[in-house]
Amino acid sequence: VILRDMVNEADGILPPGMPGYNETLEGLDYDVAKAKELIADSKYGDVSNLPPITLTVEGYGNSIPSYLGAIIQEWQQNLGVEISVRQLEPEDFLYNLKQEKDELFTLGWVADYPDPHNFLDILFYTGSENNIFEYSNPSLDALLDQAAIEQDKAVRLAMYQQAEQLVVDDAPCLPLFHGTNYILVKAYGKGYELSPLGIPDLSKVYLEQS
Amino acid sequence: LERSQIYYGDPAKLEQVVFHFLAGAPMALYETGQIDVTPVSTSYIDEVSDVTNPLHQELTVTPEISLYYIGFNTAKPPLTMLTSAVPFVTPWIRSISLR
Repeated sequence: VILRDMVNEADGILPPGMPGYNETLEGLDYDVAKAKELIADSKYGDVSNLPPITLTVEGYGNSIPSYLGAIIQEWQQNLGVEISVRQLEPEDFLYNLKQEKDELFTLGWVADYPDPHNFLDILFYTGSENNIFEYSNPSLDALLDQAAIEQDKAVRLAMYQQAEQLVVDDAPCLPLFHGTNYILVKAYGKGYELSPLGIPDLSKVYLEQS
Repeated sequence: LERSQIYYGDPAKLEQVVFHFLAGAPMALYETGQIDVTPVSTSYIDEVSDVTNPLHQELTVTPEISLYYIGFNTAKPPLTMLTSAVPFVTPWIRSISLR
């Protein structure tokens, strides 16, 4: 409701349209009772024993997207977990996020090239520059190394699907949604096309004289 | 952004494109004719989706190969990864509903 059906809910990492996209991927379930049980079984035992938890977001002026507000409210209502929010200036957000991220952060990734390597390897391989989660799973790294040199396309994509399931199960991030671009272009502006990689080819744009 | 004179392909049709960063509310700038292209935010999606609204004729919707997420810093408690985090992160995930 909050996102007005503008985007596609994400269960996994790879977006629709990406080679290796897995329609049958098993995301993590919504299960409040199980969540409470797992917190009780953790070394913290109870939410009152948790250290302070802050979500780092991009922006100015104490305004956050309404869907983030809803998520924070659900954590509070369902589990009693309190989350603070800290904003970083948009201009240097990514640079500063790497240096001073809090316990949680929000971010997006738009493909640079249409291959699962661009998501799974670039974001989740141990020590990768864009592995901001500081996540490390040697089994995943080994699988990604194999996939990177596999010559058989079907086998290679199957390896990436297996890698994606590993990431989803380990949960270094909570996938929210895959994007859709909604753009308004004046009627006299012709030839404006935004690629699925988020980059418009401006060389073909022209203005129609009325 | 100006047209390149040494681009190997067909030259760009426009001489110049101007990008305005943090210049104001994008929809207000668009509706008052100060800019020619703008993304649509959730606040305006009902308005531009209405087929009787003139803005609808100017709307294009295209897929984006992307993922937006909440990341967990697995180097910091309480989300320290693998030994203790997995059973701890999961309930957070499972506590979410965007539906």
